[in-house]
Amino acid sequence: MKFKLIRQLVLMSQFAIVGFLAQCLTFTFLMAGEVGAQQKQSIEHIYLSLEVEGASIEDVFSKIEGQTAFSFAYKKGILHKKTLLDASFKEESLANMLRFISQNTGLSFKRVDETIQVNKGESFEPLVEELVSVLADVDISGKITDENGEGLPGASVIEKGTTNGITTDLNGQYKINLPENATLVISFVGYKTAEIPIAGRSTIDLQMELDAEQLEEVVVIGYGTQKKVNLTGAVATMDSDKIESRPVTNVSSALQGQMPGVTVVQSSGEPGRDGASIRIRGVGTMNNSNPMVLVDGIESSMDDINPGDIASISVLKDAASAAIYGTRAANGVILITTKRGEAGAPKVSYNGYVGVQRPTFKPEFLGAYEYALLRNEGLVNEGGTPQFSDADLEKIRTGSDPVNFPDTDWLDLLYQGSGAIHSHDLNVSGGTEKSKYLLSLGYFNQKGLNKNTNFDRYNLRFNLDTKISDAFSIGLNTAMSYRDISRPNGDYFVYPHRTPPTISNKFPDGSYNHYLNNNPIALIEEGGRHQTNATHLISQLFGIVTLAEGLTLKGVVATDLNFDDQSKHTKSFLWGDGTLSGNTSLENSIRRTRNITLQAWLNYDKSFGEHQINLLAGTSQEAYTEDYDQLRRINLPNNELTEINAGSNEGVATEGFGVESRLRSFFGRANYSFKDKYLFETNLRMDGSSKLASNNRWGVFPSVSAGWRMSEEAFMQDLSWLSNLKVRASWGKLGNHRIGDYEFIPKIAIGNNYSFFGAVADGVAQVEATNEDLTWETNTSYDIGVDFELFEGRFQFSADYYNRLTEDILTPVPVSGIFGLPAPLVNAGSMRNKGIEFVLGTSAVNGDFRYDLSFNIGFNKNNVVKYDKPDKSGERLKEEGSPWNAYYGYESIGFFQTDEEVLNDPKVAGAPIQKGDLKFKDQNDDGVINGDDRVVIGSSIPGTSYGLNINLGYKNFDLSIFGVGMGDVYGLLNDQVEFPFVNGAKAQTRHLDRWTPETPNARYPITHIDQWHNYEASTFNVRNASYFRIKNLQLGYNLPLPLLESWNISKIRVYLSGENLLTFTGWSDDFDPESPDWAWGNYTPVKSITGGIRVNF
Amino acid sequence: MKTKIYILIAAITVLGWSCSDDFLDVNPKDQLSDATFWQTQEDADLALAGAYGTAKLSAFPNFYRWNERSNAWESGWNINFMDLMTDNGYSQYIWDGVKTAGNGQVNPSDRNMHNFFKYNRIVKYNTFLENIDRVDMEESKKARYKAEVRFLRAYDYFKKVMWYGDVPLVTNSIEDPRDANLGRDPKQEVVDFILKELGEIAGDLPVQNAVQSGGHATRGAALALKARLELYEGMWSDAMADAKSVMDMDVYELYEVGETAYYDMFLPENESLNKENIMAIEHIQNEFPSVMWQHLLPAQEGGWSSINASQSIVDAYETLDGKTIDDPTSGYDADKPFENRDPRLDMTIIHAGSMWNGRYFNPISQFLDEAETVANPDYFTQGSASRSGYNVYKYSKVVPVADLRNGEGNIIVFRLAEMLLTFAEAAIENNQITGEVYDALDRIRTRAGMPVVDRGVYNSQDKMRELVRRERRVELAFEGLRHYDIKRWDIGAEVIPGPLYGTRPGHVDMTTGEVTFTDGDRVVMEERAFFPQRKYLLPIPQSEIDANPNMVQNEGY
Repeated sequence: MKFKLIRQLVLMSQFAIVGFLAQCLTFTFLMAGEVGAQQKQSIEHIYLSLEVEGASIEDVFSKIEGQTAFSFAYKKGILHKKTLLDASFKEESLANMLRFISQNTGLSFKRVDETIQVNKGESFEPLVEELVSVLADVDISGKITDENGEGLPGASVIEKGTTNGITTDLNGQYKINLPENATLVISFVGYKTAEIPIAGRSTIDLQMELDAEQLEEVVVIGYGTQKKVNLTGAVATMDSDKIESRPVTNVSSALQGQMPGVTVVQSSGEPGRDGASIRIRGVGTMNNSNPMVLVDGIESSMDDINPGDIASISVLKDAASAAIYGTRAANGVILITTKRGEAGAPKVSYNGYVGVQRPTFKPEFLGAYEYALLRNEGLVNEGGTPQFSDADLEKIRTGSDPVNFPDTDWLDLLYQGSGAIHSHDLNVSGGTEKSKYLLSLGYFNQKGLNKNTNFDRYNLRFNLDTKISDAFSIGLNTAMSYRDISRPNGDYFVYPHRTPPTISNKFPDGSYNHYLNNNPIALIEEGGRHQTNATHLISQLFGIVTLAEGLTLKGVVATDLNFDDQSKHTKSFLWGDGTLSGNTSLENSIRRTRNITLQAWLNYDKSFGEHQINLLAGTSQEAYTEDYDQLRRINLPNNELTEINAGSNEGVATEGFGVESRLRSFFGRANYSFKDKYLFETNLRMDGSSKLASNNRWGVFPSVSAGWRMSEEAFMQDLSWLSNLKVRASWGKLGNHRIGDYEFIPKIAIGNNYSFFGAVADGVAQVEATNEDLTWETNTSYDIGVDFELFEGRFQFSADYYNRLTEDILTPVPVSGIFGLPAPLVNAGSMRNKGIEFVLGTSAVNGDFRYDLSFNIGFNKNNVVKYDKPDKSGERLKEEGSPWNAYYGYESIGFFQTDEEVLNDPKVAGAPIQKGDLKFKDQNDDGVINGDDRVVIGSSIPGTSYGLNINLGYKNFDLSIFGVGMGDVYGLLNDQVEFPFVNGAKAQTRHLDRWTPETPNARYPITHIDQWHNYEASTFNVRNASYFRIKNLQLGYNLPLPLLESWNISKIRVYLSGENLLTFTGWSDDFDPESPDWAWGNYTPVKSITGGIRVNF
Repeated sequence: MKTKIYILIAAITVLGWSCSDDFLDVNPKDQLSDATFWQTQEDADLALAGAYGTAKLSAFPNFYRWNERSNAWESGWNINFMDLMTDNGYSQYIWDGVKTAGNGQVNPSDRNMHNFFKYNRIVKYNTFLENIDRVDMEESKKARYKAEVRFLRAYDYFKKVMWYGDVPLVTNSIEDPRDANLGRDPKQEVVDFILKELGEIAGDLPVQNAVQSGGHATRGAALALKARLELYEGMWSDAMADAKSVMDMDVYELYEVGETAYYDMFLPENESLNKENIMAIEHIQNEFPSVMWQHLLPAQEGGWSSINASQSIVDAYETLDGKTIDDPTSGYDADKPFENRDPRLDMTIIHAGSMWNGRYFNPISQFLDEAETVANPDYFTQGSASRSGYNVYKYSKVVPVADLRNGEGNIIVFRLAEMLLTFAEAAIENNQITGEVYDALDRIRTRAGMPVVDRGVYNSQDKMRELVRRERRVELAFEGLRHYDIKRWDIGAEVIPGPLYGTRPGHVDMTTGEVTFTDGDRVVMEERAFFPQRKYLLPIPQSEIDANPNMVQNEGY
């Protein structure tokens, strides 16, 4: 499988330069491609180096001949023996060299094919001509195939002892003309190089043999790269093709199900706001558990990245691999590496898709008649007056008065948007050996499920690598993204789920009706809009200088700028009954963040016989600022004016704040390996943060890890089926820096205003408690892992066990309300996450059929080890010995069935209980139900998360099925959709299955309008939210090569893809298990069907 | 080679950047530092306003849970909504926080009922009092500032004992959260503290009405609170004395401008004339707005009708000749219930047929036209219409929708009429029914357009008690005091349990305003339960019980 990946990397021009090592690996055949082309290539584009001092012209010619396939032709005697040349060229074009010689000798040059004719010139004006003839027919052709007999594209075929050669095409075919007695040298990364004498043959085919030694997949790690086989920590990786092949709307959701221990939940499908939450190996802290995200080594956000720009993603899961990032790494580190250019003619590729989205789940609400009946029933159950009279009911049932007694399907009205998405990615890369570039343009558009919601994303990236000299190169990464999100104002998504069907949307004259001064459809269509314009600029300049053999110094300067503009324009319009919807207003805000990073590190890489060492030492500092300003005016004269100046001075309001934080760090790493069998690594990071008081701000974070490649041992060599076996172990300490700013500084808050004498009186007050002794949260973890590969990589297996203990967690331990201020943060908590992770993979090719299967699963157990005072105030429990935020509530044991039961059975004091209400278990048998009878119901943190990848191929067709799932996780559906009528909500079909004297075993209790007792968290409404979903299903077809060749296109793939098509869950028929807690208020998760095309020119 | 050297130099510079720790020292730029505060008079002014005020919840006021988040000294919510937990009214939205307290379903986890328990205001007051001496300012002014803040603290403890009974009495700021696990101090101790404080500070506060004081606490406010608490505690003589001293301050007079003075005095445009006002919550648009109009106004004006009056309060108003409606001689006609009644009924409650915003208010017709095509948003079953058919008129005013949640109207906490009633009731209970007592009641009744007290009928302590209680209920309706009255008169079992009634269904002629009722069955808003063992107290928040091992729950929860 890996070979294929690498091949694809090379071929699809989605070339992944995975750091410098990858560059070296691929260098060989890039050169090969070039020398083969020398015969046709202009001398302007043939580069070589030349360093001579006092050399004769003849010497210079022979030096050039030695480096190229050219020979010089001239009459003896035209060269002045006494003319001596001094020249120093570094990677200069041959043409320029000749011009230089021409200028200094008066000779003129004319290149004809592989010969350079030398003549006496007329003047000292440089004269270099070129004449390239069409080559004669080839003599030798053939096909190079891989171990499975499949054509191997990109392999180099070179004449031995020369630089003449060519690379194979997409089918592994090559054609070359060479002398009869020549010997072919055929090589490809990952395979054993073969030498074959031509011996007069005109066809030479070769099936190449795998070379396990050469197979060195490289992964990106902190401040560098590492051979995958030499990894001692737990690093999961994902390649670009996993992202490119799916129409994901953002990068975070692309990570879902790909790596064990990386739990991704996408709880919303709202255009532009559908970023997923990512947890690595459980929830590591009581605070912000988001992992650290770095793009090309600089801390950034993954929201704005064009998925098509990503070359690879590494997730550093254990402390050993993440320790180099110290205080920000406690929740894991995600390293995103973007694509870079490669030398060669410009390669252009295009990837585009169009599709349509629909909600994954859609609750089924009662129609007007059933709604009215059930509502009356609820009112009567509570001793109230029915809302709908018999006459009303009749009108609703017959539909005789659709104006006043309509039957409105609000969800149908809501989902009137097209939900269309389309995406276009254009990518151009190329360059010379000295200077390589990648330019990419991306455009993505998504329409909402409702009208007037639109999301545009524009991405531009330019990555450049330039060699200034042999020892010094610089690079530039710039990326710009612009997101433009437009959506209606207010809770337009909530209210269609609440507004009763007995309320009409519009009157016959087209004006809107309203309910509680609200009509979500009017909000969508007329209410104005909420515009977000987010600009994200990343620029990074780096220089690498080689100070001595193996010793390099890299310096980086990077800025990350975000400008987040929001504008909320509220329009005013008349409801059908003549009342005004509200006043016009405009609220503009801008949030600017700036992060400036400086980094420098020295890297030393050296082998001494069988010892190999790598040392790294560096420093970095970051300065982050964030400013926010908001302004508002009301009463703009009409709905068309949308600028602040148009508003009335009376409603002017402004607000603003700013925060600043800084981090300074020193870090180092030492790697040692002996015979590539025994691997050791240690990291050390020292971080100082402005978020802590000066006596507490520095933290030291070490890690050590070791690996043993047992398969390399002599005693394992007999096991031919075992291609790799490695055991690894690591230990390390990390910190968590993601706390608020200024938490340790006692502050007095401004803006606690009052009014005296009818005017504003500015006031201040202490509203926060402070703790000056705050210090780092630390996370100590160890990891033990094993990697297997069988049958030359055909079966792969990895397993990891980890144990993470987070201590000194900053948490506001519940304090008595008598303290009067919110509880100050204290380093009081600790929690443990432990778990195991497995990855299983197998792949094979059998003639035209190929498959590639992989399965990963992670089991995690979270447990609060220390929490000073249990917090049992809500439905989420925070207490020692339980999972963090576990659902906590009553055990529901059916309904009160008789009046005797209501009278005699234990119940909550004061609760208005009647027959048909939920009955809770009296856990402590004290005769009453109160807070003491609550029990832990289940964890809100998934215990299991898994992913399944099935890739099948037959000839030009490929089919992939990708499923993700979660197990051992609970969710609580908001009571406003779990129960009917709560807080003005409506009712769903399932609510008809309710308790009545005739249906004592119904699913729902007796219908109420409001009855808090039933809504309490209990085993009735906290349910297992496990699910398995087919996240992506994709069918692709590669157009046949002969056709493409006639079009001069190297690849066209068309595909049909479906996201979130099927979900298996016991959680709910109506709401998505991926967003259990927010089911009621959130924009729903979406499913989509897309069709796409990918073209490589 | 040269480039190499440049790079080396650059790299060394980068690597060896200044190691001074200044880089890591950053401070907030939008908040003051405690270390440099409490120095000048301006600091004292800021802290004083901060003691009264609250953090803006946002520059753009959001009504939801407004009360819960506010830490201003008092909130209109606590005034206007509080009668909904009594027989005076009904709260139709559970999230407004008083519904469960009204129907008996309140429980310790009911977050909406936690507001009064909070000590966030106490912290502000204690911090102020502990630090004000660090400020260099005129001593007399400082004395007044201190007295104002002590008044606010006394007021807060007054509310705490009324709602929770025994509460921890904290008079110094608590440095370590672990020291906050305090048990409950006996109510009597807290009451004694409040009365002692009020007695001590009164002298440092100026004699001013609310117009003159601009919203600051005054001697009148201190004594009014003292009289109120003494009345509630049955300290009749003290209550009489303190109420009398407020009545005798020559800065106060009943607001008697115009026919509808009783209604007009609550309107923002009359604030500068209202010398009846002893102390109010001073609202100002945008910065510290009132959200009450949103809750009070009927649906057609964009309001939510959150505050509904009950049939019970409607029935409490006498007829114009000073008789109760159950008196057969009163001339009360059940089919014309709003005619011939105490004018304060029309000035307190918007009912079927009321002239309101240029139309006849109509909560009882489902349609506004005979053909039954135009739905009536004020119909009592409709979205944001009053469930009882009665909206509250006191404090209501037709305003642009834009101002519903951005109101400038002050909410009165103490006014002279309450002192007159306090004096009268304390005197009656003390059995000192002098002319002064009748006079106090007469002043209130005549201002409202009612006849003076019929000395012939109300000639005994019992009859006078009955009168003063009814007068109090009517005069102070929807001003947040009814719950305390039910509690101290211990009439909960009579007035709370059972169905809570609203209007009778019927029809309003939209051109003449004539109201006809169709049948006798009144609208029932809810069924209420009463738990005497709770002693009219709210539950201690469950979060407090969980966090504080020394906290004991009130009985009945």
